[in-house]
Amino acid sequence: MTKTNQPSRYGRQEIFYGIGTEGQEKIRKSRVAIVEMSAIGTAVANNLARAGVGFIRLIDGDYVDISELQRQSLFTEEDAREERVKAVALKKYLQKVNSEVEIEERITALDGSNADSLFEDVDVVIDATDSFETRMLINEACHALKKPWIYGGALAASGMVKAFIPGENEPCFRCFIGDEEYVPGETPTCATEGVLCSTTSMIASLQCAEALKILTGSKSIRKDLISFDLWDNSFDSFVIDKDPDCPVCRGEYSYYGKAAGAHTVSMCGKDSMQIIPKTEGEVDFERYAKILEHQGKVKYTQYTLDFDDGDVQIKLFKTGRAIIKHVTDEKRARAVYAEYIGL
Amino acid sequence: MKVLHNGEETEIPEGMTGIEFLRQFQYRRSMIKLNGEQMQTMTFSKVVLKDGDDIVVKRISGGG
Repeated sequence: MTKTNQPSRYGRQEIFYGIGTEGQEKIRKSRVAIVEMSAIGTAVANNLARAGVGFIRLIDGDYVDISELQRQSLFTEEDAREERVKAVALKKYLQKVNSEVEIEERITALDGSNADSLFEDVDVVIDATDSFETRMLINEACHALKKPWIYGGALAASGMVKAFIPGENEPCFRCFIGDEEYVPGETPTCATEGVLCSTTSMIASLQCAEALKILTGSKSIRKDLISFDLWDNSFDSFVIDKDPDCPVCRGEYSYYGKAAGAHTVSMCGKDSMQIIPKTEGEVDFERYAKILEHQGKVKYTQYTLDFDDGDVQIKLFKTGRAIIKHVTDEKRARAVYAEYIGL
Repeated sequence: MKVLHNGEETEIPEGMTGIEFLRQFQYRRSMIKLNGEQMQTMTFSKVVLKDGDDIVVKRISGGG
């Protein structure tokens, strides 16, 4: 209880021996970036906002879909119906949870050219992506910027978590994953094997515990990789050794600092393709709405413009990035973008 | 012969090597323990498995 006999908001954390009032003050002054508002990302954001982390940056360029409500616990049916931008919907929710926390939404996909601006002013980066390539980029950016980051990956009922701490003798994600090429279709994914909300919640909890240890300067940060399976009841740990031949540890980067150029990305579980233009700008939605309204239905908010002519459905973001819905062929997606957006 | 594969008794051919085991169960990008001892994939690949071996293989998880 405080002097005024009111229960303290963070009282239960402050009486915990690992944090205390001093640790809580460090948490209040800390800054965290979360990459992607996935099942893991939403749970992490919820935990950290409630824990009182002073600043949380939500990085995501996607919108809420009904198929994600099974595991992305903070979104609602209304968010899905309105196809709300995830980072914006989550910010709105978290501000109601804890108005003391500064929440910043960044409606963008992480890439080699924007990683600096997204990571350089935070204390910890949380991985909540579903892409190994994005993790390789997080790893390289955090190595270059000397930022700790916390890997979390889910598949069906199993998960893995590991905090990567910058340091000469510390292994990085590339040391862990090796140089095996990623071959699309050969690695099982949540789309092919499914995933439980319990799995992603567990991963988020483990990541948040490690984040709080890092932010409070605890010496209890777990060195090994935690691996668990909630269905076969196993909980294991693995030591990750530093690879003496690791290019990232030598400062040789394949993703960080590289402009991605115009590219197309398949949207996990959404049956859609995302087109990211070479140069992102500021799209004038009012002007585009007038152009497109002769060809189909158009509606726009301050964040997105939706176009639907019965055959083609596009969600266009302010930067020129677009999601072409119900298209899985890259060429078709690019053709649709060129025809309707053509920025 | 029988081995324990992620806690489940599993029948595999006599003389099966680690690499054959990984191929049979389509493991890529995995963490491995043999009889409680963590092993690099390269080391495990060369091992000739024995009856009663306890093999734990965990795929590196990538979903978010």
